[in-house]
Amino acid sequence: MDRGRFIIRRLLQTIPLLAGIMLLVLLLLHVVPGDPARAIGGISASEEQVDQIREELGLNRSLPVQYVSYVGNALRGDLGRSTRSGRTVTSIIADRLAPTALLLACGMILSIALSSVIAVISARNKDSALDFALIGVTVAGISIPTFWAGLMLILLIALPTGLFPINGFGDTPLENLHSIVLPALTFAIAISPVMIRALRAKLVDLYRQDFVMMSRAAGLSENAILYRHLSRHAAITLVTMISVQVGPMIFVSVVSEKTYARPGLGEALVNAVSQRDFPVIQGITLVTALFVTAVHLTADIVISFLNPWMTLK
Amino acid sequence: MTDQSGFTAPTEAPAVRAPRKRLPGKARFGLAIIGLYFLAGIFGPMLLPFDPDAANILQRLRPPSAQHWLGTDQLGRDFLARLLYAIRIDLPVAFLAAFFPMLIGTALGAVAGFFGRIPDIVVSRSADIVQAFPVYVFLLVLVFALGSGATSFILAATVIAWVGYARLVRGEVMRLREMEFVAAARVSGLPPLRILATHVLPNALPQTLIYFMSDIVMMVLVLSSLSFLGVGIQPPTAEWGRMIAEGQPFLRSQWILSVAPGLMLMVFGIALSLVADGLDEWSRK
Repeated sequence: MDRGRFIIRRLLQTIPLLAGIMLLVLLLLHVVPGDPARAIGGISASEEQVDQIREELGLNRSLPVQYVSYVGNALRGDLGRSTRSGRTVTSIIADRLAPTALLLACGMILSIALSSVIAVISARNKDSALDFALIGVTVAGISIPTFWAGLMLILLIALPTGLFPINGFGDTPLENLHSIVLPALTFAIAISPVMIRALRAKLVDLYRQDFVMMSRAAGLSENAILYRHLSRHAAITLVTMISVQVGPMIFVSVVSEKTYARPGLGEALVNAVSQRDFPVIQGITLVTALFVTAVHLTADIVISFLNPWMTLK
Repeated sequence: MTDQSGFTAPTEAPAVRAPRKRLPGKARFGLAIIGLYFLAGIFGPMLLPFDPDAANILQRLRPPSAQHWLGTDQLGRDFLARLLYAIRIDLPVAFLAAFFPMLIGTALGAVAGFFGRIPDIVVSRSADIVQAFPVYVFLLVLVFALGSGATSFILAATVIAWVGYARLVRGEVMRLREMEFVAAARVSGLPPLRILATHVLPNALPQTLIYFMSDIVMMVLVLSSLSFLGVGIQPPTAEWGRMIAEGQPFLRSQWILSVAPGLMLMVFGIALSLVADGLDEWSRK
C-alpha cells in the first residue's frame, strides 16, 4: 500500500469517528440523573422555565432527531447558545481560543525541547549517577499534580523574584509572552516526564545497535551519529508520544489556566461546569475532541513519512 | 546394556530448584512507604484528638505548635488530622477508579483479542471513540454530569479508563493466542473460554498489573485535580487537591497548607511508581 492510499484511508476512518464523537457529546446531556432540563434550570426554576429550557435544547424530541439536528447545526458552526449569558457558544470559543492556543504551542515546544535534551543526556550517560538522578526527577515529575507544580513555581519563583505575573493573560503581545512563562513551564513539568521516559528507552535501545558501533568505528563523532542516524528514529518516538499525550496536554492546560487565572478555553469550561451551562460544556468538549482527532491524524501522517515501513504493510 | 535406538531414557529432573525470585529493593522500598500510608490512614485520625471537619474560627491559620503540629487551616481545623484523614478518601477512591476499569477493560480486551472478528471490531471502534476525547477533560465533564462525589468519579473513570486496559490486554492476548501451548490446549479439546481464562489471561496479568499501578497514580492525581477545580470530592471532606485549593489564597503567609498535601501526593506517586518499576523488572527476570 502506498502512502497516498494510506493517508486517504486514514482520512476516511475519521468520518465515522467524528459521528461517534458527536453522539457521545450529545449523550452527555442525557447521563445527568433525572431530568436534564431541571438539572440545568436548578431547583428554583419554575415549571415554565424548565419547559422553555427543554424546548431550547430540543429535549422533547426523540434522540435520533436530536442527533441529526445537532450534527447539522454543528456542521454549520452553530453549537447553540449559553444558557447563562445567551451568547452563542461559537463566539465564546472564538474569544477564548488565543490564550489556550498560545499555552498549548509554547508548552508543547518547551516540553519537546526539555524532553529531547534530558533524554539524550540520560541515554548517553546510561547507568551513571547523572542518569539515575534524572530518572529520579522524572519519576517525581510524574507523581505531582499539575496545579501543585504551578503553585510551587509561584511560591518558589514568582513571589520571591517578582519577575513573572501570577495571573491573567495581558493585553499586548509582549505581556502575553511574559505571562506565558510560568504556565508553559508548568505544562512542561507535567508533560515532559512521560516523554523523557519513552525517548530515553528508545535512545538506549538505539545506542545498542550495531550500526552505531559501525559508525563509531568509522570515526563519526557522537553528535554526527545522533543527528545523522538516530534523530529520525527518535523523532518517530517523539511524534508518537505527542499523539498519545495530547489528551493529557489539554487537561494540563485546563488546570494551569485555572491555577494562573488565564482567560482561556479551559477556564471557560470550568466556569461553565460550575454554572451548569450545558451548551458551553458540550461545545468546548467537542472542540477539544476535534483537536485531539486532528493531532492523532497529523501524527499518523507524519510518522508515515518518517517511517516508510509502516505503509508497506 | 546398550540401546541402539538412539533414544535415551528421560532422566530424573535435576533436584535443583530455580532460585526464588525476590522483588527488587526499590519495589520493597515502595511497598514499605505505601504500608506507612495505610498505617497513617488507619491509625492517624484515631490517635489525634481532633475531628478533621470540626471548624474553630478562633483558632484559624495558626502556625505549627505543640498542640497543632502542622498548624490549623483557614477554618481553624487541625491540619495534620485533615492531611491524614484524606488518606482514607484519596487512596480508596483512586484504587477503585483504576480497579473497575481494569476488570471491564481486561474482559473486553481479552474477548476482542482472542475471538477477533465482530467482538474485536465493536471493542476497538468503541475504544477509538473514547480515545478521541482528551481523557481527563472528558472525565471532568462526565463527573460533572453525573454529579460531584466519589461514586461519580469512580463511575466516570470506569466509562473512560477501560480503554487503556482493553488495548493492552487485546495486544497481549493476540500475541499469546499464536503460541504453541495454546494450540496444544486447543487440540486437547479444551473449550475456548477455558483456554482464555486459564492459559492465556494469566500470562497477560503482569503487564496489566503494572499498568494498573501507574493508573492508580494517575487517578489519584486526576481526583485531586478535579477537586481542585471544584468538581471532585466536595467540602468539608478532607481531600488533598481540595486542601491545596483552599490553601492557595494563603500561599504567602501559610505555605504549608498548599505544600504538605502536594508532598503527600508526590511521595505516594513515587512509591507506587517504584513498586510498578520493580514488578516490571521482576516479571522480566
